[in-house]
Amino acid sequence: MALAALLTGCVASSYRMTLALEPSVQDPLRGVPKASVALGRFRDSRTDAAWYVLLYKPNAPNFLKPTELAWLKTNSVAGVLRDGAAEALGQNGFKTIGGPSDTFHNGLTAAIERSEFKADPVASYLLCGDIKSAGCRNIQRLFAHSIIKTWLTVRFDLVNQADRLTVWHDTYTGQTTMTNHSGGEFLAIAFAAASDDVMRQLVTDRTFRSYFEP
Amino acid sequence: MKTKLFHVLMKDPRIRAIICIGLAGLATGCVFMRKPVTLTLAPPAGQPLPAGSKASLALGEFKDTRLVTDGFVLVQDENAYGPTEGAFVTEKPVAELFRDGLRSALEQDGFPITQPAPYELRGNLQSSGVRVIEGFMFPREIKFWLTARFDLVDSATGLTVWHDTYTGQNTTTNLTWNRKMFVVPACSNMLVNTITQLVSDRMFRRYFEPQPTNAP
Repeated sequence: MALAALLTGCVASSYRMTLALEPSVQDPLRGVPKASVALGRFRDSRTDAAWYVLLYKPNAPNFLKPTELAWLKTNSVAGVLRDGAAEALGQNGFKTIGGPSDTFHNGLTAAIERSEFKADPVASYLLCGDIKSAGCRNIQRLFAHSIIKTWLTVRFDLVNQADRLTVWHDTYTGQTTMTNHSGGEFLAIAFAAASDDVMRQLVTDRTFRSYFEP
Repeated sequence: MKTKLFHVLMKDPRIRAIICIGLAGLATGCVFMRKPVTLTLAPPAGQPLPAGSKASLALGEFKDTRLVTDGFVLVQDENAYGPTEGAFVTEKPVAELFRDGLRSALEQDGFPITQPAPYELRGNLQSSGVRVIEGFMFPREIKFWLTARFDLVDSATGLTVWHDTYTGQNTTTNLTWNRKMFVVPACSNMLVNTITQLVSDRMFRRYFEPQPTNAP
């Protein structure tokens, strides 16, 4: 076992971390918004990662998987994304209602409680999210560091609070390309960059904005 | 004499480097090389739009957000450890070739393409890939797939009035040692398959088909 650990050693590193997204999108609404939005349920329906796993970098497909893995110690990935969405909307003049997502201490129980996030009846619309997939694609180069392309696919639903019907939905894939790739810091930066791209697509979507722009 | 010459040559670090690069090239094969291919799309004629369509469309921006090294990559090469920087590359960006193919398909089916137009069609090649189905000793078949999203935007308001995502596929069993021989037609069929799905979509056509005269 010791030999196996020595041999596999650094290829299966796990990083425990905290992450707060700081969206950079700057495309404010023109005028006072005609409706408000509450941040609703954000789910994580990735099939290859647990709700606390931020990102993992796979090794070769035929060998150990994952190579490096980053996981969150104080919040779920969906919670981080929800807070990031609230931040992105808030800084672009959307009238957002609802506080930050709850932190968890008891794992699954708290995750279930969080998924039943109570909507604020004051807001006109409820914005829900669903993480569909996230990952890293490693493109090998012969004489240089590999290229790592990270992606994050999220579906957003805008629900009318009056009749509980989805009035708009769309799915965005955020991406980032990096070559410096090792450690938990890399995974956190890559995830943050990909989610920043998702937020940019959401905030600049003209159809989404039409529900709020006067 | 030969041994002496070999030892003299091996003492030169430049020759050693060249030999190492040559050996690496031989050992890794061509999976790290870019292989130019020529691709032209010829979509078959579909169901023509009835005469007197109620709106025209313009072809807008076609993005390429596939997880490949650049927009010229038709298929990223792979070895046992996953994708490599090697690829089959086209002379024009794949999104541009796809847009040209789509224009040809729309024109064949009678969609009026004007500039400007009440509607603008935008596209995004979102992902693509290859899946090899292994046989007993050799690969049995290879599936090529491409996922593309289309947005129909109202030019007056800038709002998306319709959007959909299609996955075009093609399976090839005619595998030869010269991979270009099957990669190019399979990719061409895959792109055409994606285009055909869009052009034949009834929800998409609804924006252009003339309204029936006996409508209530």
